[in-house]
Amino acid sequence: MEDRVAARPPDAPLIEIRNLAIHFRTRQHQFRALSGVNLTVGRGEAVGLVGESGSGKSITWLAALGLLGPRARVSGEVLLDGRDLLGLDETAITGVRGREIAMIFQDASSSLNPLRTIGSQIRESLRHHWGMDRNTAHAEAKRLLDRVQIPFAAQRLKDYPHQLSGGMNQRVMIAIALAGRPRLLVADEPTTALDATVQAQILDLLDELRRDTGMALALISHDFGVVAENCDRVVVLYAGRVMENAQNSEIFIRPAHPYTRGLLAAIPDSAGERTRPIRGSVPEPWSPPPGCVFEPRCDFARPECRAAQPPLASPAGATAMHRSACLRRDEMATATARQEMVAS
Amino acid sequence: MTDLLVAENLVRHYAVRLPGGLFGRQAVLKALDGVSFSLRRGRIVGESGCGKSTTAGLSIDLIPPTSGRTLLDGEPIAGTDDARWRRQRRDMQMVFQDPLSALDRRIPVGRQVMEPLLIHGLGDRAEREARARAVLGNVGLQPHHFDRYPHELSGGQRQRVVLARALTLNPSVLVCDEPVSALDVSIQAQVLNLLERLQAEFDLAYLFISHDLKVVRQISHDVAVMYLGRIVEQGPPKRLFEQPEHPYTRMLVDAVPAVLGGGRRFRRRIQPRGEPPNPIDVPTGCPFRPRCPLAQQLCMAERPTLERLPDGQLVACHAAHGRIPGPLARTA
Repeated sequence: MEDRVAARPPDAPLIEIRNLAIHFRTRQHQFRALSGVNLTVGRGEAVGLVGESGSGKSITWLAALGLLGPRARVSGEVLLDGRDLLGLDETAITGVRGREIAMIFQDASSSLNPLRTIGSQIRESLRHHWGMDRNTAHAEAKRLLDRVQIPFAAQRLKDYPHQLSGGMNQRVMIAIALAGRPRLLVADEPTTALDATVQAQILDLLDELRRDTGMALALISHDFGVVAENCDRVVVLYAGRVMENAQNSEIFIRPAHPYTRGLLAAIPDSAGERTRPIRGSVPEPWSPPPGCVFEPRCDFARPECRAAQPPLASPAGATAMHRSACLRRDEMATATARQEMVAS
Repeated sequence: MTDLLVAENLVRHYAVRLPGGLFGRQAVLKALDGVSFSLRRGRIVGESGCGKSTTAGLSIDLIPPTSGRTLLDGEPIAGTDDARWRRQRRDMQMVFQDPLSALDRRIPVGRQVMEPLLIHGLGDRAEREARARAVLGNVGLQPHHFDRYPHELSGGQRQRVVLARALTLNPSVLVCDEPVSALDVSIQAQVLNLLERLQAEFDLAYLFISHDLKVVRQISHDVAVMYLGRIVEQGPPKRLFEQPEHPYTRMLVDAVPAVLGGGRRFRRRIQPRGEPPNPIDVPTGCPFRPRCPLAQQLCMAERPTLERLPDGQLVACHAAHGRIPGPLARTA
């Protein structure tokens, strides 16, 4: 493993997801939850994944960590430093979970065990990952609570989750995630259940940890604002496909996909401007439209959009990193985000 | 114009037992601690902060107040099941956050929209059905949706059904508790625009409750910010969001993440610190004091009351009223 890391160029991405697809079979339906997703996360990079429910932003990472269970059929590759995680056996993938890639979820209070103190839950993680003895683990657990800025860490270790607020429990989850010293932290809507002022503090903490430790961050959110403030790059997902992928500096200024434009126009902005909704609703996964998945809701659709899902490509005049899955990407990228575009 | 719904000094306390089993100390949780507001016909008041949903429940008498009262059209809302109370209840309807749990999964949505008419004994079957179909049309649903079950509809369509059901009785007040929070962003905007259209069309008043400040700002004519069971600031949205007076409002407004021209982060005027304390242990003096960058001796000694500034803005803060040195960023 060591020499494989050394053989890779230093700017090679930490995670490279290639053509990831997930099929589910239920009693009534057989459907694709994810189709041909390509995605990279660089070392220490903060990438935002934005999309509505069912877009595939969480399931991508559950598949990468082998957490989907037997009903899911996963194909493609998830390369971590060049090693494909999808082929790993249970022992090997267990070594990846928490140690290489850690994940935190929306509702921290229900991710924690209500019957055990937070100290014992952090120590369990430390013993599991590093085989620490009780005293070492205790000292390290205290250090981790300090690290996530929980005041009076020593006393808090003896508390149960119900004695802490939602924001504090999320900090505990982050401490548990840090225990494995992961190279990537996947934060799945980590602040959605929290008060706005607490949300800002948790996001600041994640940003600070990323800068200090060099850990990469994949931030999953339905909130463009959260992603804009905390990430370098944004991936927009819709109905299990990547619609657009670009640096912050480009995607919010010249969005090159009608879905991204629509989402930006649908958010009430801080000036209280009137929002423009996207018509219709997300297609059911078992009956996707024949061509582009967004075509039935798109104001810019043309007959050729019904033929096939457009591939991801760079719009004219944009950087090579900016990619959009729209046939009219060149026209899209010429108008700024707030500019009204005339559908034709 | 007279006020349609008036809440006078609403208080709701709950007796709770602190941890420690049988030996735990009894304590009082002040979910709502003296909240007053009024709602005019055709106006929308947005709320944000701690104690929002309790306010919703109390204001239409779903939760009995510990003290205080609510008046509808000048008449106190009766707490008993008599004719006046039933008439008042017809006039006040509520819309909840999660439409799937607000609807009955085993009944077609059209019949659920007819149900309030049945409960209040209005019209015959044909009239009720005609009314339900008309209201479903008002909220933008198609005639064929009438016979559908909730699970056959999308989240946005279900919320439209919930709205239709609330509107069948032709109420004048709609209390909306986080009505768009469970919806996806693209659908949220559809429902918000619908709420605005219905408000104008039926001359409705909304008590609109949300933790999402951007949504509150878009839809409200008047906004109240709550902290630990009290209103700390109230005023028109433009004033409140552009020149927040209370340090908590300022912190909230600054904490809202925004898409600003692709910039990674803008500098916050006030760095948020601390978390709302446990409502059982409300600090003495000003409840916001432990988190407030402006706090002085006076704030520990004396709880600020909600008072008017010269321009009419209501604020409960010693600094805003010039009793202690004021906010640093006032002119910045």
